[in-house]
Amino acid sequence: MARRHKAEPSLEVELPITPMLDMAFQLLAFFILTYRPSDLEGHLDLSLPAAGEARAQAAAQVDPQQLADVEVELPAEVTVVVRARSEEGTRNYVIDKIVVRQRTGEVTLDEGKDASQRERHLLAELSKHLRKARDDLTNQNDVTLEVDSRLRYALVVQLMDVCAKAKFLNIGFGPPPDLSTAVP
Amino acid sequence: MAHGPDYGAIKAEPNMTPLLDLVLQLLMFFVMTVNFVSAETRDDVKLPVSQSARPMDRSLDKVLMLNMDARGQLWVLGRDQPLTNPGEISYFLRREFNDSQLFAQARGDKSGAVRTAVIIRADQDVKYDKVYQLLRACKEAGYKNLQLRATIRGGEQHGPAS
Repeated sequence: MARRHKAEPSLEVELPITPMLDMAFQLLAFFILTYRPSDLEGHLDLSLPAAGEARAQAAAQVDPQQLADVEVELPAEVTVVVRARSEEGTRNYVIDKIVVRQRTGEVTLDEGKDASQRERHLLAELSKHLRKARDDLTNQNDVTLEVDSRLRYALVVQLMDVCAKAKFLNIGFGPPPDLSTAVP
Repeated sequence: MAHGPDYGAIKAEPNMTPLLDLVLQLLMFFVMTVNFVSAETRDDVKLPVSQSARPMDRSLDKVLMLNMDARGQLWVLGRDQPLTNPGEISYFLRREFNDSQLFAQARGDKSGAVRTAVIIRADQDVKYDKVYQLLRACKEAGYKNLQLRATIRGGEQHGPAS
């Protein structure tokens, strides 16, 4: 009589979860400790500043047909000149006045009466003036900023914001008014 | 018949599967958001806040990152010491530009056009004079694509300035 073969017991694979979970926790702890969310960064488009012009040594060397570097680079009709003064009691510099130069002439913006809100007031005035002036311009995209070299860079970015909100898409930089030399 | 001391005791075996599932989900999140290579950006450069800054263009192929701290010192990748005087900065930029030109020519671009975007991360407290000098030096070196970096106000994404 043939013996029946016993059916082999089915193999059950048991996965050891515990060490796997342990390793997963270790990795998780590592990444949690090294995770550092960074501030959201953006970029500001700009037009390149004009290179310094070569100064003629004599009147005979001046070529009236050659356009100035500024005009070739950025034919802006509006230039915003920002002058600075030192803040009393500190070594910081703040905005003294803002002059908007156009083909029709120069306009010095109102500084307001409240000394503590002076800078904010000037920026608000600049925004209003640029929006109004833009409608009369042929070139409504370009503006040049000439900012005193002693001012903080954060303030320059605020000025760029004001120009961008006034819909000037191309913001160029002219030489700082405190550094540019007079034409001989 | 003797029985063990645990005979009849109720054993609680927590179900590990959903726990493991959640842990792996979290792990996946952190693995995908980790950034080991952040040497190009310096933490001590505090960017100014801007409302009109646009979200970063991540499609840029070649980038030269320049970090300027509050004292006007320029930090670049690969150098332990910052560049401090305008001559050093100008020399560095011209050399980088020339290297990029040679590299472009070696790749077959006969014009040697440099498409590198120069990204300037300047501290909000640095004097504008330093930034202006850097912008001029970049232009004189031959770079045409410049970007200034700023923190987008409120951490929100803004579209192009309108």
